[in-house]
Parts: sequence; C-alpha cells; structure tokens
Amino acid sequence: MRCPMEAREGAELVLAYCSRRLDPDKSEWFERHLAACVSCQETVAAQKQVWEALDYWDALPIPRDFDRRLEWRIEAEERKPWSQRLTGLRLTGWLRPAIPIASMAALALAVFLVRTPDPPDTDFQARTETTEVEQAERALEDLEMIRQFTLPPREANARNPI
Amino acid sequence: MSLSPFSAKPSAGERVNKDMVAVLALERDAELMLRVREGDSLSFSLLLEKHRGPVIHFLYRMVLNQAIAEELAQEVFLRVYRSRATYEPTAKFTTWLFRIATHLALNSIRDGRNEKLQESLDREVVDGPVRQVATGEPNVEQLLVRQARLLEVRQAIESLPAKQRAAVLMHKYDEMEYSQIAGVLNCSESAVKSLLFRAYEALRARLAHMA
Repeated sequence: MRCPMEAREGAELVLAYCSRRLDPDKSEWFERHLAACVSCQETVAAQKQVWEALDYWDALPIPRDFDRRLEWRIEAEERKPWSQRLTGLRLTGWLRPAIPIASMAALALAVFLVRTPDPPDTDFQARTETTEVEQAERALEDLEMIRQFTLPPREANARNPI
Repeated sequence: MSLSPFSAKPSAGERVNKDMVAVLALERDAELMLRVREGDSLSFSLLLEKHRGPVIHFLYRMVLNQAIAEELAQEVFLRVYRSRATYEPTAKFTTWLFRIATHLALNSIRDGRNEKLQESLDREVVDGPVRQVATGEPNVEQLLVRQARLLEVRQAIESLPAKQRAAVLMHKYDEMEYSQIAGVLNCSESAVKSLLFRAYEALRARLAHMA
C-alpha cells in the first residue's frame, strides 16, 4: 500500500482524519494503512496533539448586556437623520479623507457656477434670425399660391393663354 | 499509541442526517435574514442569539482581547442590520457573517488597535474561563498546569500570521469546510489548504512538548 504522505494530498488526508471529516470508507482505508506506516502514525499523533491542545482554549462567556447594547446602538442609529448617518460612516485607509475632500470639491464647484456670468449666446441669435427669414419666405410663397387659386377665371385665362 | 485517535466515528447515515440538518439551518438563516429585510426584528433577534457566541469567540481568538472582541462583535451585527435592505442570499449567511467579522478583525490587527488595550496574557489567563474538571473542583496544581497550557496555546496561535490564524480558528472551532473558509477569506480552496497546512505545521512545532 502506497503511503499517502508521499503525495500532495497526504497532509490533507491526515488533517481530515484527525478532525473527523474523512468519509467512513476513506477513514477505514487510512486506518489500515496507519497500522503499518510509522511515518503516518507520527504525523497523526502530532496532529492529534495539536487538536487536543487547541481544545484547552475554551469559549468566553457571552456578556449579559451584549444584546441590550446592540439594541441601543441600533435605536440610536435609527434616530439619527440621514446626514448624520452619512457622516458617521467609518471609512478606513485611503477612503478616510474622502468625505471632506468631496465636500470641498462640491462647494468649490457650486461657487464657480454661481460666480461665473453666462456668456452671450450669439449662436442663438443667429439661429433665430435665420428661422425668422425662412418663416417669412414660406409665408409669402403661401400667400402667392392662395392668390393664384382665388383669381377670377378671366384674369387667370389672360395670364395663362392656351 | 492508539491508532485511532477518536473511538466514535459517525456512520454514513449520521453524516447524511448531519448534512441535512446543516442545509436546513443554512436555509433558515437566509430565510430569517430575508424576514429582517422585510422589517421583522424578531428574526434579527433569532439570528443574533444563534450567531453571537461563535462570532464573539472567533473575534476574541483573533484579536486576543475581550473588550475589543466584544466591540467588534457589536460592529459586525450592526453592519448586518445596516445591510438588511440590500441583503441577497447569494452565499451562506455564516460565510457572509464571518467575512464581515474577519474583515474587522484583520483591520483591527493591522491598525494595531488592540495594542493600546492589550491586556497581559498572563493576567487574562488567570482571569479567563477555567474549565471545571467533571469529577470535582480542580486543585491548585491542576489549575496552574491548565493555565500554563492555555498560555502556550494562545501564544502559539498569536504567533501565526493573521490570515493563517483566521483559517485555523474557522477550521478548528467553527468546523467550517475548506470551501466556506475560502468564501470568507476570498481566496481559492487550494490557498486555504495551503494556509491550514502551514499553520498546523507551525503549531505542531510549537506545541509538540504538550503531550
């Protein structure tokens, strides 16, 4: 039987075995191998020792007022207006100065927009004049067409002799 | 030497049952969080009751300071509550929860926040929880041996790089699978295996004499 520790998966196998996460078939196979392999016996013993040593570190008792304190914090946060909630954001690293910088930039932009007078719109004037001329020409053409339709037949024949 | 370190092994049926219970529990967590999203505060209380213990213990073992661990745990659940409106059950709830906790713990360690309040390891061991011996009250000698061992374990864990420490704590105390640890640490499963093997190797070297 080839020793699993010779392969890359060996350490994974030992770890899974010692933490009881190996499926029963594999576990049985590994135990048969373990009976004959001194190297694996040593590794398993050492890993078991670490596993048991870590058991010494018991969990802490949960503080009695944990839930109440959290409730207060949630209530306090919900009472805050949105602006305070925004300023209360905890930013870390390079994001920390983001809010003051963004505020300053917004303020500077607002001042720039308010104080800069609007330039005269010359294009608008030119566009308006062109449109007025075109409209006048179209109106004159329409009038001429109407006039031709309303002329008395004699005058019309005199004008267009066949 | 005993070849089988653990006498009682779970049968295939027991494992299937355990997996089913785990799946149902996961779905329940996501369901509860979706109810929190709808404004049900009772569901938040249920989630808090179920997960505050593991989160506090994980944070305590990460930052090695009780006061900071409790403060960070408060922040974890506050962030969960704040994120309720945008919560989508795309990952396991515990993966999401521990990702927040790990992020806060790693930031705290990086910022050296715990150094200011770092309590003496010796003092904490004396003040820390002491497991009662089942047969009766431990005598002074037993207590001293136990405290010395606990101190060694803490120092061994503390000596690990922060990410290895997080991986070991989730693997050992929270019984997470590689895939879940990978989800929390935002890395591949093979990276998690590598982290764990290196961490356990270092721990074996440090704790070898504790047989």
